[in-house]
Amino acid sequence: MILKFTTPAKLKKAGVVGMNRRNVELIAQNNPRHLYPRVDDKLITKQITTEKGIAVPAMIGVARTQFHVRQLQNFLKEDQTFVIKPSKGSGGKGILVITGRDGDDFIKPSGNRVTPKELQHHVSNILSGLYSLGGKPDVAMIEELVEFSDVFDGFSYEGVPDIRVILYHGYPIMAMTRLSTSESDGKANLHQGAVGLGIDISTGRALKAVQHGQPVEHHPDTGRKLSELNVPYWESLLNLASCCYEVTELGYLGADIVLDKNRGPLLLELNARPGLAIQIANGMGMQPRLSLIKEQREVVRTAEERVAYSIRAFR
Amino acid sequence: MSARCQLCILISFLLITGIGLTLYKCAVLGFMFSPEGTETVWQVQGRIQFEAAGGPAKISLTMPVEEQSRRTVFQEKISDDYKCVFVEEEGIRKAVWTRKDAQNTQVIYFRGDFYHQGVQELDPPLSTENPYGIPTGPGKLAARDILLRARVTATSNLDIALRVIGLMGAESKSPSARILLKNVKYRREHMEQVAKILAMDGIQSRVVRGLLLKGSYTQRSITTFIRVYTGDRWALLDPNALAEIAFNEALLWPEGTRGLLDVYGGSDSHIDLSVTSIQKNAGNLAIDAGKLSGSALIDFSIFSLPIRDQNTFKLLLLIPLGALVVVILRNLVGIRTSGTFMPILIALTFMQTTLLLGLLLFLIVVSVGLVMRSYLSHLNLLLVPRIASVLVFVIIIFAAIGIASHKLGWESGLAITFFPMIILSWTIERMSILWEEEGPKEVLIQSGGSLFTASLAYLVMINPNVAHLAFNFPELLLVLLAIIIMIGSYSGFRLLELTRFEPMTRVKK
Repeated sequence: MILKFTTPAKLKKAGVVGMNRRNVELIAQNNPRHLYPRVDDKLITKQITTEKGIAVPAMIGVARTQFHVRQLQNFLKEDQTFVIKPSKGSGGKGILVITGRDGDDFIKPSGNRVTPKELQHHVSNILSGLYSLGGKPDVAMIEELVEFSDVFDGFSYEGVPDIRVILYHGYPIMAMTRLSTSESDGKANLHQGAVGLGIDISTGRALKAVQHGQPVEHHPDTGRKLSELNVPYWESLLNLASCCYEVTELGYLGADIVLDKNRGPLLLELNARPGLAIQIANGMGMQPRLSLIKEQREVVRTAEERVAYSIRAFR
Repeated sequence: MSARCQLCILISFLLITGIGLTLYKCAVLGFMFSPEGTETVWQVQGRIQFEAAGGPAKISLTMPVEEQSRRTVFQEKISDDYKCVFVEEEGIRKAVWTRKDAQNTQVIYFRGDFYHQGVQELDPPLSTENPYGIPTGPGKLAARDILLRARVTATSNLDIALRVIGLMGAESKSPSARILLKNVKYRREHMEQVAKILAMDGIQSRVVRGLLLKGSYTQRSITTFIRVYTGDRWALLDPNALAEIAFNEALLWPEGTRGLLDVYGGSDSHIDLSVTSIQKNAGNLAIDAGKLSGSALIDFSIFSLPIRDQNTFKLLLLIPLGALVVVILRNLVGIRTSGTFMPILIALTFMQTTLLLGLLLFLIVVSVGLVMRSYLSHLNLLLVPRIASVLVFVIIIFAAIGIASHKLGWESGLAITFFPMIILSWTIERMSILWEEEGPKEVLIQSGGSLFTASLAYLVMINPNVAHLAFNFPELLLVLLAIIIMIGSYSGFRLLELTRFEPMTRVKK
């Protein structure tokens, strides 16, 4: 692999924001640390977003103690499909998806069985902090399974991608989706070989795709032309994302949104330290957009007005 | 803006304080930037002997003139039975030994080690008045004769003075010289006649007693020197050698000192002096001198600690340098390491094991540990018991390497024990999780980054010049802190981002 270097001046001209600038200017100056639990603890996120009427996957229950673990089987006897996730987990660790039942056993998307004992053990692990940052004790959230919309069919190798929207002071400035490939082993991790697909903020249409930092046109596994992706309900998706600003008060925020077949866009997760790869997937630096929004900070706008502004401004 | 302002003020304060203290220590206290610099140390030893009268005895010895440039590194004035103090009378320092009952032959030893840091500048003479007057009576004509003859060959004041000393010397005893030296018994009076002759020509001079430091003989005695004002500086002349000598080549006593030694309660006293010179490390000398003079910067520093604790600090003071390397590599270059400061600890270990051996042992322990840890993954253990198990693995690996290398006659394998096992356990744990979540490529990137950072930090910390600076100038820590804070507020691109975002500048034509 030959490393090709560019110059800082060229990057600056392209409006690229680097890691240091993100940490010093975007995160340190806009995201007060005491607000972090609002996004780092998914249970708190769920509570405060539900209060404000933001659409999220419905909650079935929370297991907080080992006592709850023993009641699980009884508690879940009506539910055919659900997801169990650690509240303070990161990077998708410890998430168990159940798509069906067979007697007492649970069925995973892969078709494998999970016995009630194994399920209890998994939840017990979550509670003891196996998946949380630094091994802190955690709680397990049980959510309804999202019925994914089929717009992503053929665009992803395994699983259904979510859409990451970056919000700067509540204005959506960039969006992307990460499409897993066989190379990334079904994981939506860009440096493991997932495809990053930039999405036009004003239209919801695919912009350009990159894999390993290089432009690609077709999905390496399914062969689907990536530029054909057009996210439906785009404006309401952006509105949903934009509302999260009022809830979290974080100036630099990443909102991960999925499309439910019946309910439309649902907020999955929030991130107070969204990464910078989105610039590569969009093929443009975010600095010009940040500067533009910075000038708008004095103007009071509702979430819908902010989205309307972004759609107009970033056409 | 205010935060930015504060940052600027803080950084400049740290820089000014750090650099200022460093320069002060260099210029005033004689610290050296390089560890190799040496200085000539004069060891003056004295022996006072006298016949005691049987009662109380008091011996006082006039001390040489205090000079800014002379830095004493060692002094000893204690003789077993004597009490010794320094007293100052009319600006003249004396060492005084006392004893209640002294009998027979008494001997007192003393010693002073010092070196010169530059050459002392003397103030020019205040007035044109000469303390010795000018020759009178018949001496006036004789002096004029000598001056005339001196002027024939000499032009500068210095040359004239040397010629006059020569003409007044023993070998060339002219009639004029004989007149002037008629009642002169002592060397000091001899030189005062020279001073009087020079005064006739308006040349200022002073007769001083001193000990010549330079020379090949060890045994010395106090001699008389004359210092002459050449018009822009004082020159010290050695009448015996008929040559100018540098001020730092002689130890001078205050002007007007007659006898150096006063003995009460005894007789037949005499003093023997010897001078030896040795070369010593300049840095150590500056510390010794600073301790002796009670300089606050030295007194309240690491140098006031016992040697063993100083050695601990020698290592501790290097750690911030390792931290700086980590900061630079992470925030300016953009290298990913596993564990923020783990590389520093590894670098410290390398200092004990040497680099290549350290790298080899690290790789062995971590890779064996990873294999063992991969088995634990299947057991779904809780976090703390899992890391505790890894710790046990690490110790087993340590023991295995130690025993195996000993049996194979490869003793350096025993250096394995220098590795911090808790840190290694965490490293193995973290890399194992990384392997499962992000794949082996990320493990290679991060462990490679860690080892690269550790090696670089090691190379910085092992450098003798760097170690010398860190230990002798701990105030440079403030400069280091300023640099780290500066990097902390740097919002520009990292070096590796120039390749990461390179496609973006390529596409945008």
